[in-house]
Amino acid sequence: MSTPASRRTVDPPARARSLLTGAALAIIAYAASTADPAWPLLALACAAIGVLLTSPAVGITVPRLVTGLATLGVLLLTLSRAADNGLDVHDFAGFVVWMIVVKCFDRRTAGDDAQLLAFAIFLAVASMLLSNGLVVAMLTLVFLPFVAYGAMHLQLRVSRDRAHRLARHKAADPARVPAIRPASGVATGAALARTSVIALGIGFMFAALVFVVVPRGAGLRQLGRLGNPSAGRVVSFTDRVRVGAGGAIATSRTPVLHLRVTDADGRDLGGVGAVRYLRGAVLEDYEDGTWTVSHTPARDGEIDEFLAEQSQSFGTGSSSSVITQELLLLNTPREFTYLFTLWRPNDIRVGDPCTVAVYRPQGSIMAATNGGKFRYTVRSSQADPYATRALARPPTTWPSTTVARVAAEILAPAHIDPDPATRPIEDDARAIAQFRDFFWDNYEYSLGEPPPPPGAEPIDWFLTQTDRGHCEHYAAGLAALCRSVGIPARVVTGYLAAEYNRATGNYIVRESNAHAWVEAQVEPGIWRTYDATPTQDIMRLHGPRPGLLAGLGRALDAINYRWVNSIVSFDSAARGDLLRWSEPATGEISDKAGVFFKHLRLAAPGEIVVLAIRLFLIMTAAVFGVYGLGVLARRWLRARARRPAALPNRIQDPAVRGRVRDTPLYQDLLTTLARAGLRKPDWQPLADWGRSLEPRSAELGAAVRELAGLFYVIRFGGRDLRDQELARARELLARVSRIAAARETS
Amino acid sequence: MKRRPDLPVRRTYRFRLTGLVYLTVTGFLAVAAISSQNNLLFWCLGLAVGGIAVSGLISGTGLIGIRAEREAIPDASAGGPMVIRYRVRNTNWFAPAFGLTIYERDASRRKSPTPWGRSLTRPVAFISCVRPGQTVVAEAAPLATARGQPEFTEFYIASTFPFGLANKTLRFAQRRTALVYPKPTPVRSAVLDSLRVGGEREGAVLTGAGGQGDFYGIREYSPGDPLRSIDWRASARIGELVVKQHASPAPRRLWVRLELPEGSTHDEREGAISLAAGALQLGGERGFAVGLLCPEHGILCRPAVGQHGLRNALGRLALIGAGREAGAPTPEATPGRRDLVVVVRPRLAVGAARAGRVLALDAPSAWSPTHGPKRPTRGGRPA
Repeated sequence: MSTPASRRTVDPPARARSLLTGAALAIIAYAASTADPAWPLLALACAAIGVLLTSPAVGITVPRLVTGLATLGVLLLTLSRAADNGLDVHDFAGFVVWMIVVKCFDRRTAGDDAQLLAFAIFLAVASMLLSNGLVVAMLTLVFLPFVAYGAMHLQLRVSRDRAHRLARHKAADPARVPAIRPASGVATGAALARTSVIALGIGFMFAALVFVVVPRGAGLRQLGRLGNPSAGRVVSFTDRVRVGAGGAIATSRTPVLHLRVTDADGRDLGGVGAVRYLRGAVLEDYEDGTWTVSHTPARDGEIDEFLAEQSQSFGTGSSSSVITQELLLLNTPREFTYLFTLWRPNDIRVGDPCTVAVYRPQGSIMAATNGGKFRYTVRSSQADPYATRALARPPTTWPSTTVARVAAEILAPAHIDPDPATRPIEDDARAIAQFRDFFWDNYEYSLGEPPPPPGAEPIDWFLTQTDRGHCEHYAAGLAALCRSVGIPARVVTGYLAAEYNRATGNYIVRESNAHAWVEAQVEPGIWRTYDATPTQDIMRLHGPRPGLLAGLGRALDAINYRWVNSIVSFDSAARGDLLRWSEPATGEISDKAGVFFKHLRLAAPGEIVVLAIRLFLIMTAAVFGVYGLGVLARRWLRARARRPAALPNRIQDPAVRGRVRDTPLYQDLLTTLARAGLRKPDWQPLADWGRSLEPRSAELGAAVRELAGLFYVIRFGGRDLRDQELARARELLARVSRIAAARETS
Repeated sequence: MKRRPDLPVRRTYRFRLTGLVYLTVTGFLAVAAISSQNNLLFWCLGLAVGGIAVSGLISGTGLIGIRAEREAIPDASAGGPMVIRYRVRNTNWFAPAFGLTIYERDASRRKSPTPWGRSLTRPVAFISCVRPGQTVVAEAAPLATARGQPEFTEFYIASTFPFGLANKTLRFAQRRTALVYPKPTPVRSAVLDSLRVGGEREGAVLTGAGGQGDFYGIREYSPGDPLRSIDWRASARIGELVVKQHASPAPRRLWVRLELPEGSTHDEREGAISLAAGALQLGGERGFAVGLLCPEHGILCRPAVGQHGLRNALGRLALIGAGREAGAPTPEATPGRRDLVVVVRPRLAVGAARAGRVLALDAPSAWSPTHGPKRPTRGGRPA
């Protein structure tokens, strides 16, 4: 298939390297943003092959029919996926990636390149939708200059093609119309690069302005949630624990949240070795080997709509001794999700508008956010906020006699009565500690323990048949033992914050820090946290890793935290802090505007005319003032460009320096020429410069060269000019001055 | 005060489809950013808004200092390119101008008696970059399609740089005319050889001193004369330096008489004009002083030697039918006794007829302005 002559490009189709680099960076950014980077990288390799095959060196041309069919195939594949699961950002990004590959095999018309550019931009945006990570942001940052340069370069090519078509428009025989000749003496590359840098700078200024000025949450209610809720990685968290099933233990090192813990005075309470239990779901029901929640905040709790920076107290907590936790969830879904807090949450403040649900009896909190990052602050009381202490234990039982038998065996050495009816309440805390110590002393941590045999009760099997397990086994076993002796206990799932980063003063919590533990009543109404997982294993599993690589990883985490904290999680509060300085000024302007419009409404027509005239005069004066300043600035710049030449500062020898100063031939020459707009470059020797002037004016060039020779006598010859030479120099200077004046006049 | 001609008379900004698409995508970005509250999307939105500002700023500052001038246009022949040069200067001191397309205003829209559209394809030139303070000469080379005197009134400089969102146009009003000669139909040189009677000189013209022709006389020496030309004997006799002057033979004169009788078709007339141009060109190439005579259009162009004479005659041919010769008195044909005369007519019963020093050439009836004669048809053949 041949292209008509009128549509053919003028140049051989050399595809801009910037464009291809931009497309490659977009694919890499997408690979960094997705959980499965293998296939985008495979697509990148395919694209590279396409570029190579269709390069002028190899010269293979893929027929349009083939690329058209490939496009159709990619489109159909995407539509079939969308029909199955609904179109999400991943599907769209996949479509774009494969379209980039197809375009790399396609012909290199300006239209093809424009499509390639558009696909690359769409892919970069999709990558940012999928991940707020620093790596993606950095890749996008590197991507932008290539795109800016590529877009401008492409626009030049499109303009030239359009000019070519215009020249042949309506021509009876387009093939006979001569090709457009390139204008000579035009160097585009460096100027284009400079312009794209300037364009990028201005673009970033606007981006920063929009980023800061646009109020967060504005228009959200009017627009609704049009975004795709399934986009992005969310905090993987479960409120069902199947004991012994395995698989629920995450080993990924992906950060989930950042935590900062302070006391009431703002002092940092975090530190290496200090472990914090962040509660999420509270699991109270056990059936068929599975712990589940009996009440969820979203279903059974109090639900309130929160505005940005709104806080709410849960009522009964003590405010005297509190621990403040500032949490930043890196990626949340849009449906209700658990918010993680230390035990005894007392009040909460959210950074962005959301819906918060609280179930007070358990102290569990959920929130429906707008997706993505979510920042909130919780203050937890060290005293029990729900201190409705009962006089007697609530009735608690456990169906398995095996567990009761094991519990009695554990308590016997400590002389603690397993029967709750006869055991004093004060012994409950000792009994729980005895159970916990039993696990600590006799069990080992293992993620590879096989599941219990079919038909076996998982907790019974764990307590009697094995001495290995992970946190879910320990939590389930401890809760079962407590309940079997009449102590109310529940399993709590959440995260263990043990990796403290000194650089940021924060805990970084990863998916692998997901944990399960137990809360048990030491007294009626008083719940305490117990973790049966052996302590040494907790620090091994959840603590910071040693080694150089781990240290580098922590440094990267610190950078990532700064990125997330300043850019990704920029919210109404941060915006308010940033714009606080402008509040008095904006308030004053707003007040004055209000007064002005009030006067305007009440003013008589004559007053309005006077006001309009005054306003016109002020505006005119302002415009002329700005214009005048511009003119002055331009004149100043021109005068600066024509300022007198200085003595050559490289002259070290005082005698030579004195001679040059006494016979100001060099300065006079350069000043005269600078005033005519001919400024000698600093790097160029005078004689060379004279030679370079000859194409403009042979007479001028010759005079400058001769003067250069006379100057070199003073500068390097070790003597002053003789009278005859001086006269000749004056004559030449007068000639240069005359030519320069003529040039200035013209 | 008279306005400088290299200043634009009007600036136009017009949004393009690309710009509308860009605005739509920016709108989508805004909706996505607000809906998702994704801060990186807010950055994207800001960059998209910045792109609009950058587009206006770069193109605006780039074009604001553009000055342009159309240089004098050299004559061209139909079927060949006409070279039109535009001198574009960027007076801006910091902003370069990119992607400048220069094109002539469509003359058919104007009530010009001789719009360029009748004689040329559209003149278009392109400059990729003009740096601050730089002057660039761009060439447009439209194809001359028909003889005539195309008139150029206004030209545009347009740019869609940097992102193609808007088309920015500067309009310059500068009036110029050019000449498109008719496409010369090739004439065999043997045709003129057969007419030469040879031997006699009609006259002589003076050449510079030291020529190789016959002795003509002596004159005073003037600086620059070759020393060899000094007549030492005469100088010694007179007492001052004198040089010998020689005469060279005057060239033969060739008259081309173009007869365009009423009733001939347009193609026949154009064919005859093209053939007359061919005869004139051949005469010029062979050293004849060529002249043109066309009684029907009041054209009398006396024979002159060299390119000047040839261009003069061709220029008169170019203007036939343009209305410039209306009302001119019918000139009298005054070929000398020994002048050669070629009569060109649109149609002749016999292809070519010779009578003494007069040759009648038959123009083909089928003729194309750019390709010249088509295949000869019955009743005529190219000479």
